[in-house]
Amino acid sequence: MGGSGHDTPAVPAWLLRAIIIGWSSFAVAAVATMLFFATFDPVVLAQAATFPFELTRFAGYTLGFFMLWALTAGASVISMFLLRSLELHPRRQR
Amino acid sequence: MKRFGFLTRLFQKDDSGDSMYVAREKVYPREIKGRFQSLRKLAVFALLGLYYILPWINWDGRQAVLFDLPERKFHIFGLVFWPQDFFFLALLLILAALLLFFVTALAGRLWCGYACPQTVWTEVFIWMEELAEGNRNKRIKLDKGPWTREKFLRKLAKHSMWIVFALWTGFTFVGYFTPVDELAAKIVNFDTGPWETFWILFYSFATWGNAGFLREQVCIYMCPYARFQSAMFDKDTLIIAYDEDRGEPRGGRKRGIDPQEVGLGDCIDCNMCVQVCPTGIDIREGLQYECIACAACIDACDSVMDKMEYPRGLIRYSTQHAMDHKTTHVLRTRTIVYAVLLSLLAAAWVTGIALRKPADLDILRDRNALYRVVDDTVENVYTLKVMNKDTKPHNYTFEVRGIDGARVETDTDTVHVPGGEVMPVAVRIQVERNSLRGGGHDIEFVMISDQGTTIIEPSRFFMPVE
Repeated sequence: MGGSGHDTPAVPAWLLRAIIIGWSSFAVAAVATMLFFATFDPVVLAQAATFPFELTRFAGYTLGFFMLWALTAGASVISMFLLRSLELHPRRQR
Repeated sequence: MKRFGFLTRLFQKDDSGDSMYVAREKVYPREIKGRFQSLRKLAVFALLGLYYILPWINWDGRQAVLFDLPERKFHIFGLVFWPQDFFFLALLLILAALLLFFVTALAGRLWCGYACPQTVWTEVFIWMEELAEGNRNKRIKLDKGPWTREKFLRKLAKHSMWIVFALWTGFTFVGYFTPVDELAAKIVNFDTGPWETFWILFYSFATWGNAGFLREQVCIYMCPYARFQSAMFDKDTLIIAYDEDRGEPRGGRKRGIDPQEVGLGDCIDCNMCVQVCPTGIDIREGLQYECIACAACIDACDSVMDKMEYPRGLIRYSTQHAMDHKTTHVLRTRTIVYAVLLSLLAAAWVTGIALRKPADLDILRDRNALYRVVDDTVENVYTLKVMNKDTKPHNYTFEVRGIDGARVETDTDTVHVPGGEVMPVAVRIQVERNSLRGGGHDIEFVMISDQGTTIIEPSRFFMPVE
């Protein structure tokens, strides 16, 4: 690494993993949100829900985005857990 | 806690010692002047100027660029895009990706160096950092030094500037999705809605974090393009390269000495190219994936070469072939294929938009009854959703095809729909009971606008089965 700057604390590996998971799932959720809400109007969806409720479109988009983000991030975390626990397994280690 | 062992294992530190992530040394890029840095500065002003000013421009009495999410309509100057037009947005994104591939094959990471929001905003944040904390050496000293009154004030000044700029960025971002003048008025009166407030803060925080702190780490650890762009590179792609043949062996020397006499190359090993690098690499070690092709090292090296009275271009834009003393081919299979695909898709996109119908029709059948019998007439009831995609109001009339002698009844002879609105219209179709067999029949609704545009939409008509 270049520069004669001083050392700042390294970004811990777990934080980097969290950032990478958070960011990649964010990007996928953003695309999914666009596709989903281009097809469905959140106001109509809320009215047609099992428990109908009132909500504004802005609120609908926001909630929808965060639900999708939670889903994509959840899938990423599980994938990473499965891969990492396999790698960390004693018998699998080289 | 054992139950949650998997959680701790998931996020525990790598103690294997071969962690993917090197301990990060903070990069203090040195500001440099030169041809390419002027070009980058120009790009920063042009792109950020566009970003901050665009929401304030009006067109036909309406915000020129407004992705009106609450109304589910995108306005781009004279064009209105509806959710039905999502296809065009998808195609536009594909076009943009293809353009990026094309430019990458041709000219390397131009996008990263000159146009990527991450680079552009980081650049502005570094300017503010310089303004508050001084040049590179002063910043290093300040960070190493103890917390004094001056350090506190300088850091405070920097963060105040960062936060104000980030908030303005977040506000502008939301201004693309909800009318910006209304939003500004709401902010002045502390009257923004919860979701608007949330998104302004969210985007401001992202700007502040990415441009202020993460900087080159976004490119190195988070950016997918940085990882796969090498797949589009070949030996004819424009890269930033250090001329090893000319530069080596490097070493310090006095000015005015002929390097060849003392057995040296042209590189005086001043380390300027390393100090100016925003990602903290040494270009003399060859092309690295961290390199965002900002050309700061070219400008730095050129200025040193000028001082030494050596010819410029020890570090320069070049290609692998040129470095190997071979010819560079701009036209090659890769670039031609990208160019052809790009032009075809662009042509399809423009034609598609030009040929868009200025109106649309959705048909909903009455859900309660298939048909109604009144005396000797059978009636089916429909709700027609008439969508006027034009910006001006229009009148529409309706006809039905498929059944001879079918009558179309609407409450008014013509239906008036204001520009950019959807109007539900109740339509009754009446057929003589004896004229048609029982069961379902295919019909077509024809909607004719006052401009002569016709929209045809199929549906079904039901007769009682005897």
